[in-house]
Amino acid sequence: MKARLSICNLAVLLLTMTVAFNSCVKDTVSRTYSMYTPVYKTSAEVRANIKNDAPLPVKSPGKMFVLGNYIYLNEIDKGIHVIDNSNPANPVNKYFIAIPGNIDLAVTGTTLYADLYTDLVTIDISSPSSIVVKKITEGVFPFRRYSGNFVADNSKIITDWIKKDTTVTTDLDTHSNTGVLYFDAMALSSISPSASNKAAIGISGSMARFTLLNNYLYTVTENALNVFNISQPQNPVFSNKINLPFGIETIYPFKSNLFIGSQTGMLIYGIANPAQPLQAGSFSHVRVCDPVIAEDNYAFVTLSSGTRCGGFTNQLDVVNIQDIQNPKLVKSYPLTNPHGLSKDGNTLFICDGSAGLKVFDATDVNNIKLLQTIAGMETYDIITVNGLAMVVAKDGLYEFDYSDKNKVQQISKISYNK
Amino acid sequence: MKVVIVFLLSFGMILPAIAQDNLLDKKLRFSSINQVGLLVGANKESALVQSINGIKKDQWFAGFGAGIDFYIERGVPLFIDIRRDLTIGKNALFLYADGGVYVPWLNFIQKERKLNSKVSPGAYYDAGIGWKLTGKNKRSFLLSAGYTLKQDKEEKMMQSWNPMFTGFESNTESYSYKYRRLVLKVGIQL
Repeated sequence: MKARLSICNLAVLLLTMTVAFNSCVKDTVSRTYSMYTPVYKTSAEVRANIKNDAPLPVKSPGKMFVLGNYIYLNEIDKGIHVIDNSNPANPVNKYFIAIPGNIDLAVTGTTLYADLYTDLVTIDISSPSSIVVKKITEGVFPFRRYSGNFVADNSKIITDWIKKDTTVTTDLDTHSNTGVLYFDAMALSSISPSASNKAAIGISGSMARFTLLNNYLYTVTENALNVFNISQPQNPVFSNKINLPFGIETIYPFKSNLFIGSQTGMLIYGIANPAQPLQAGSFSHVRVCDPVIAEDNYAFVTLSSGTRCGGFTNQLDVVNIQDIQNPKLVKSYPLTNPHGLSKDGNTLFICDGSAGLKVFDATDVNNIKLLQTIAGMETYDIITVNGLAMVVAKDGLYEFDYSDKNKVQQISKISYNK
Repeated sequence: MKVVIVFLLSFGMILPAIAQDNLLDKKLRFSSINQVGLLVGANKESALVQSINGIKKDQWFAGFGAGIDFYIERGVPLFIDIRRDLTIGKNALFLYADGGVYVPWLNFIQKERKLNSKVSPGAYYDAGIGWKLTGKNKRSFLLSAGYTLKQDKEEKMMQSWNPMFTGFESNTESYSYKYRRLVLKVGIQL
């Protein structure tokens, strides 16, 4: 009986405690993250500041363009590094051109084209030490979108972001989105590759979104192909806009065609009339990222998966484009996480993400052979020209001598200053 | 709440059979406490099991404990336990306090959810009051209620956009999870 009373008393005690402490029962999560606040300037202030500045350390490199002895390397959202590559064993970071919002660039002759958020900036670089802004074509690219519900003041230009670490504590399951700002990749347009080896036209990587062909500058946004007439190079005239399916990523010119990489396939646009590109063919694949290069009979497409790209495919697709209206897959080769690629003769270079730079013998597209893997770097994009490969990697801009394709050797590196 | 009531009523059926004489431990001796528990939190009810092994003398006990805590995410609390009998006799009230570290031990599904994360240990504590019924051979039946916290930390690799399409930059976000629960435990002390 005593025991029963004790149990009753205890049950009452425990139930009382349960009720009394119920308000103390709580699951929380404290999230520490970085928040970015924009720094604005007026358009007039920004435009007045586009000039040769002293060189800045490379921190967040983007796309690059090579013309003659100079490498033009984008500093994401900040501008362009001008690197004197007269001696590839000792490249010299010479100048920095401040262009806020810049992502892409293209160079032809003495003219540099670059995006400044929604505007296209045309710069005379005939004297690299004293550049001159020749024209600003306003509003030709879409407004940038930001995540985290951030809406920019479009009457001004964001020139920088102030980073602040902050901690927010919330009840569990309510911490999914606290407003960190991430740029939206596809909201930007940029300038892309010109594979043509004409002396006066620069060469870009396969990741580019601007390209130069004949007297036209072609740029792609996430869902459009823009055409600029540059018969007067320093006075580009916006001449046409062709709507494309959503998910456009890169553009690559070859002969009379533009090869446009999208998240779901490769589009081929013929430019018999360069002001009015017309779709000539297409090749579909699963939803992934896919830079593309092309030559006479074959196109080489790297498919990579990732957070933005989705999918689970990482491979090289070789596509027969002899019948441009009906491209056919020749063969797929598995890779780790391929990105930019370049081909010189029968030597194919692929930036395979964390697996490094891979060099292939592509003499027989049905039997592409790996010649060399240069590991120890996370590679993004590559340009090859005259036995010299310039590689943008996570930790630096590398240069390799591939005059002997069986023995590609590093000759220099500009390390980033993170 | 229904689960709590069922849990308590179950003791009403098994306790009377165990009631025995209580003897104080005048000499230092090894003692082992093995318990199962019900955790009542803001998001769900769950269970724990634990074993505490240490030394006992008079009204005091001190030992090292380890267990498995299944609340939200599975983990192993490793802790020091100190407890004291408030009364003497075969029916005794006692207070206990545990403090230590909680080591996440995620199951397969939980690991899948945190593929890009690094999970690390956090603090663990538990304190409460209980009732002890001591029988033959100094074996005791324990029933207790307390308030417990477990904490773990997560570093999540986030990727912010780099316009090179391929060039996502990795950022780390850190999370500190704190689970504050009520705990009802039943067990045996040897």
